[in-house]
Amino acid sequence: MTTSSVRLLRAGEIIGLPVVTIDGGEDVGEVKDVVYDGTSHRLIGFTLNKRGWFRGTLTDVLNVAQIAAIGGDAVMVNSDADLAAPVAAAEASALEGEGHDVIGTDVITTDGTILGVVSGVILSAGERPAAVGYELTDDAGASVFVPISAQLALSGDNLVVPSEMTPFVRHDLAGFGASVSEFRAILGQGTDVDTEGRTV
Amino acid sequence: MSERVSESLGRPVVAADTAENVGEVKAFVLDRSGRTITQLHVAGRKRSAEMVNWSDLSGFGTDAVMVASHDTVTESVEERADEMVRGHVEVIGARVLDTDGFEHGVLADLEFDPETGAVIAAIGDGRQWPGDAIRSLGSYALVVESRSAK
Repeated sequence: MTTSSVRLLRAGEIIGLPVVTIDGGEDVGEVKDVVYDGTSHRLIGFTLNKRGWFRGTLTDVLNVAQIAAIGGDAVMVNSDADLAAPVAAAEASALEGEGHDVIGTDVITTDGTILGVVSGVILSAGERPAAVGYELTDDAGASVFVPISAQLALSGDNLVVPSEMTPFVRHDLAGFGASVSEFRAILGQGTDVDTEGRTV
Repeated sequence: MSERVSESLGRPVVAADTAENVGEVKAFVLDRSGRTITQLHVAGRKRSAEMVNWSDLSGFGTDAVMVASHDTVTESVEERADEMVRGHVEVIGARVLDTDGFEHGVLADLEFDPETGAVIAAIGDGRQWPGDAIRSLGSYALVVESRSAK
């Protein structure tokens, strides 16, 4: 398997990035918000704003499957046909509404240790963007990074993390890149993450 | 043989039959792929811009650009040409963005084949991209394949 390096970035850092077509070199919108399904820990896509002087919300939603790449300077799509129709946008919003809001939820391990409160979602950048972890803020106000796995249980009150995942918890995003790679390798998912775990 | 956009701007455009100057190279019009020059803007401004189709050039010389006659100069400015004549789509100064979503400064120059109008290379600040790595030229950016810089 080829090891294409994937960089990590905070979902919040994507807000405001232009969405640019590869086949046209045009900015067809900019990221307004991240649509995330907290229940399945899955990135759905982005809602968009128009660009330029007459700004406003676009009814279009960019589904994660239509994204060609997420970089430090732009979200790339192949063409403007990749912006979903308003119907799909409505479905995405509905999905967002059904899930529990993961931001602000307490994170507790199965052995009863509180790790912190979820403050953000960490995404892998590049050609196949996906949610790979959560950023938490602990009691002391420091950042803690926890990989996403199918074993996470979310309610309106808590996000419960298997205690076996504790070795993969990191306190810096750089170290978290390697941790996610290691964690995925053990799960056999084979996603390669840039070991530098650079924020882009 | 290759030419550069920066060095060709201002070059006189001459009608071979009457030996008259019909204008000068004011701007290059490239198709949306960013790989082919389709027209030259030779005189006038905005709505009254005068254009010559690349296919109507009889020679792109180092001292002058030759057309067979003044009749090849057209005032019909299509949408794409209009974008470029008005500067909505720039060549020199265009933002260079790769297909992974990372910027690489701005375009300093374009190298092209004076016979065919094909773009040979996009030249940036300290690096360049081969013509076939260019994916598009639009109002936001010149998009190039990631990891294709030389």
